[in-house]
Amino acid sequence: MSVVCAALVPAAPVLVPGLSGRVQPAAEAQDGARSVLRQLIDSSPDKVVVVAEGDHDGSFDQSAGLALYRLGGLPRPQDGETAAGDLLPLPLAIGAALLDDAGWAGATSYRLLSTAISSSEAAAYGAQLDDGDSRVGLLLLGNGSAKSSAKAPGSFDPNSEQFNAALLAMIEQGDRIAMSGLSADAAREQMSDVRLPLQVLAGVGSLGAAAGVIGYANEFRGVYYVCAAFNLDGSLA
Amino acid sequence: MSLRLGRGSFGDGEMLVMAIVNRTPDSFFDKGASWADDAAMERVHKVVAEGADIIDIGGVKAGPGEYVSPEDEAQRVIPFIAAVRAAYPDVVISVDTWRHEVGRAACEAGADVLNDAWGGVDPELADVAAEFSAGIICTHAGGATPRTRPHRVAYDDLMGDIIGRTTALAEAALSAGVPREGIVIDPGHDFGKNTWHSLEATRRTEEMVDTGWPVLVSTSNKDFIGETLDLPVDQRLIGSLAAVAVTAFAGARIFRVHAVEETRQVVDMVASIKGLREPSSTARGLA
Repeated sequence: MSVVCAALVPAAPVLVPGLSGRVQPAAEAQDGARSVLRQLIDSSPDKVVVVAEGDHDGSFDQSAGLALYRLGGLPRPQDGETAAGDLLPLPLAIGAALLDDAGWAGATSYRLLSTAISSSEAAAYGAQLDDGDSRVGLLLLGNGSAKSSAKAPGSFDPNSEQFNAALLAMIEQGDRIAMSGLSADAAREQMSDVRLPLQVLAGVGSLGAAAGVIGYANEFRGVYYVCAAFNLDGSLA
Repeated sequence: MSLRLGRGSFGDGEMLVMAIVNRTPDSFFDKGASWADDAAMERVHKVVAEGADIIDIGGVKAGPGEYVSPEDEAQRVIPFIAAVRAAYPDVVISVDTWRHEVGRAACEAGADVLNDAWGGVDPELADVAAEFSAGIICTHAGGATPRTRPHRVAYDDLMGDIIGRTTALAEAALSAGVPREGIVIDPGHDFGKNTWHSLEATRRTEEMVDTGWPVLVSTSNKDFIGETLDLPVDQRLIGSLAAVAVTAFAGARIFRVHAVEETRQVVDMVASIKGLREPSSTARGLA
């Protein structure tokens, strides 16, 4: 079998129930993320692989702790409940929490990819996932420019508009060439962490026939979110 | 512990109000209200009359914005510090800067305190404080670059990080020659922190107090108050005063604020509740 469905959501803590407060300021984005995650779950994968960018490489299984307490607002695990070496890096922990919120309780593994790796290495990882015996659901974590408005974490960069538009287009079209060509420098400049997750997707063989179904695409507090699902085996209407 | 901030000496347990006077056209709360020289001096007259113990003068907006060079920053604050010093020979003046060259010029113009709000980005700032026997505020910003907003910041141990970084800065200042009673630590609300972090830092102020270093808190009208109460920046006074009351009761010593008169009342009330300040009048039931 192969990768049967992929979903893209931002690794934004504000999307995680319990971290966003009483008013839920990003409610629309939360709904968008849930909708694409439900498509991922509805594709009936045997397991979900969660992929995000980080400052180092690492593989984790579902025994790893989430450590969301590090963001504040959630209680810290009691001593002995979670070993220090078993914590998921933050973006993967966000992915795990969002999957849980969407109702996924099946097998899950996690992969953090160092920003130092190349497009072709990321694609090779995607091809490897696509070459197994099981039905794989792929959860990709990443956002567009974090310089998309005056209130953005990285202040406003006028180039963010073009960066985000190109990102949305390649997702909507399932454009593997454009995904493979995403520049590490441009992504870094825009404080975007979506390059490697999309380049993993570009390595999945059936991507060429699958457009992204957009669940949400907008900026929130200056960070551009795209929530999208890719039906890669045609099993979903 | 007594405090000695340049020319200002304050007794053990005395709570001080530090008035914010921005020499910026774009700060988040006052949006340039004291950008003009006359308006800034009027603000100084007002806050002194309202009971401010320290005047904190800053020339660069904390958030992202147009680049302000050290020369431009100095031009914004140094002549004004000299003017305030001339008008008020005894008032304690603080300069809000992370740059040692601006700090040096400020001390030469009469400043008493260097408010290092970005947490030791320029280690030479402590040397300047030592050279002029000025006070220094050692702030936790989580290693953030000046004028950046927090983005998905995480701490394995928030208070451990706050206390570890601020006391290390305090010890470094002491080693550089800054008098112990002139060194203050600040948890840095909203700097390198999300709202959950700032609330926790507020709730756990006593742990900072327990380090033995005097604690300054700067919570006035900040985003964590706005997000907590879902209020815009011009409606955060009550939340700000609540944060002052809680941290004052926990033992914080200096409160950096926009609303001096209201804060003075809260601080005095808390000091009396704690038994540190005699009430102004106690005739009720005693006639």
